[in-house]
Amino acid sequence: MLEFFVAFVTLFVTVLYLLLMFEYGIDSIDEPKLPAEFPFVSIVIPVFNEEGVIGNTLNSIITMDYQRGKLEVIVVDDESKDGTALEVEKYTNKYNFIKLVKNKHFGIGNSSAKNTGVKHAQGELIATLDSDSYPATDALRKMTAYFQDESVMAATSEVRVFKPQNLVEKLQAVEYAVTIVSRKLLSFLDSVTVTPGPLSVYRACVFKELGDFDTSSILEDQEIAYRMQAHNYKIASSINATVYTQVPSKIAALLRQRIRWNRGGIRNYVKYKRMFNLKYGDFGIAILPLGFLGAVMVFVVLLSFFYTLITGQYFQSYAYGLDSFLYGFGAVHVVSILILLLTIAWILIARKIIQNEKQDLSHLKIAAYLIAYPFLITIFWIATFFEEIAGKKQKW
Amino acid sequence: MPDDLTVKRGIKKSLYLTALVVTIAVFAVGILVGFQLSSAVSNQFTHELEAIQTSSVNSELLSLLSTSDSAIKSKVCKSLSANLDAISLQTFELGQKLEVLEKKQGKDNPEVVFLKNQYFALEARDFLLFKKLREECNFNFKLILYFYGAATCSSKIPCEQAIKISEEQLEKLKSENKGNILIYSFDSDYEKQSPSIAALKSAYSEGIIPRVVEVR
Repeated sequence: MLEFFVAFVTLFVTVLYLLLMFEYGIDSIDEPKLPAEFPFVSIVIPVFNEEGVIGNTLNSIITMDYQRGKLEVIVVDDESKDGTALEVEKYTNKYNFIKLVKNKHFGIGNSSAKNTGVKHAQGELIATLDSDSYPATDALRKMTAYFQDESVMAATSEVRVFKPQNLVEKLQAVEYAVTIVSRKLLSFLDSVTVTPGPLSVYRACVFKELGDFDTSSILEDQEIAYRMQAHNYKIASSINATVYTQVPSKIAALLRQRIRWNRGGIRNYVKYKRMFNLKYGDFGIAILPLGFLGAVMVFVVLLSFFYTLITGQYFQSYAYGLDSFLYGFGAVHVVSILILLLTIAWILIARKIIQNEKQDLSHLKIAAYLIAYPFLITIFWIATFFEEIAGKKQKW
Repeated sequence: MPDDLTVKRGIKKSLYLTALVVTIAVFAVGILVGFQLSSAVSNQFTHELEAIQTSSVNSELLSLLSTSDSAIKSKVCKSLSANLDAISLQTFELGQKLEVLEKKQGKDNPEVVFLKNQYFALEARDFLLFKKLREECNFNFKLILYFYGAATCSSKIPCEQAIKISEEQLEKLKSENKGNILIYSFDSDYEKQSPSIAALKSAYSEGIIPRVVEVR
């Protein structure tokens, strides 16, 4: 019965996203027209030992097609031990719109550095950019276009993997592509759950009214999105304002990142558990609970798997070969195949929407993603569980 | 923040209802197809059972038993002796598949109960035929009956322990008599539905379950 429940919920979520795609005609979504006048934007870039990459990030900003007079860049050094500050100073000496600021409250993490940057920002819009992320030339203009709607308080970018090389990076490329579309769909339900670190833009008033990034959170980009949702602030999502970000290239680094995301996510759920409420509309009654249920189901499936392993049923079935496997084939397996087919349809539609000449999502990559990712996610959650049990302190 | 700039929360009931209806429909299709597959599997199983029952090996066995001609007997004995492993393998494989089916569909599933009865009848017939074969052809292979059952367990020690001991006994017999042993297992829990089990149990198990019996 447990497996039927898991299959039902998984199928429901897949169907929900597909219906959203068809309802909003996502392949013909019009992004807002560019405004005649662009607002003043402050780009805040927190850095810690980013000597190797910060130059590329600043170069990508310099080549942006945003009016120089309407732009300032605030690099916040979180007491880097390498040559990051020197590298940045090469730019501050050459470009007067780029500033370097030392974070006085260093050692706390990314959020503290961002807060320092926000305090120095003079723009009516404040963008946060990760130091290993490279916005496309027109990304900022496209994102600021959303703020022509006065009710929009924040906008998220289209985050893609920067030049994926190995299998680990290519798998993440598919994952990020799927996330671009799902976030856009969630924005139609006013249910965006995260303003991603690689590039997000906020109205300055958001920080004045709701406060700074939470320095006690290890997933502050999700925490501030939840906080905005708690105050019914609108978050828009772009599918054509692109930022390319470096991703972990090794499994171990990916694991550390995902453990942080999972643990941060759990804490954010607990902090905002009051939002599991009709009062918050689609966000409170559907999106938040389904997200939570998704995490719970990983453990349900795991427990079911270990139970089967311990009682020897797993080995008995497979010891008898393919014939016996087919003999054990039942309704839940047929439903699982249907779920897989719908998921493939989902990904292919998403691919059609975001495919561009710079990033090809081949069928092979998608197949690899469908095969490998469920296992990886399970491993990430198992590791998260053990770290939580061990009470290991999570650092940024 | 002025009210007109905040999100007006709503619930897209029609979206969730449609998603639910589609999910239930897809689920229903899946379950229907799954049941069709299970029926096909059961039919396939019955088909394999019938194939074993009507196979040429069984015809040979029966002809052996019905003839008094020593020359024919000798030929049939020789042929059967060479194929002892293959003969028992068919039934054994079918038994394994049935075990998987039982685990998936449950012991009380009527289809499973029906198939198990057919299978035990086949096993009982095979056992009796090979017992006769051993006598007629002077073969010295070991014939083992194994009676087990969770609900009908009569062991003085915990049943799981008793079953484990029996299974170790069987493994030892198998390794000591490689290629020269036939083991017939009967689930005593099916005794009420299966006359074959009832008959063999009363003849050989002396009421003890689990029990490994070497039939001499």
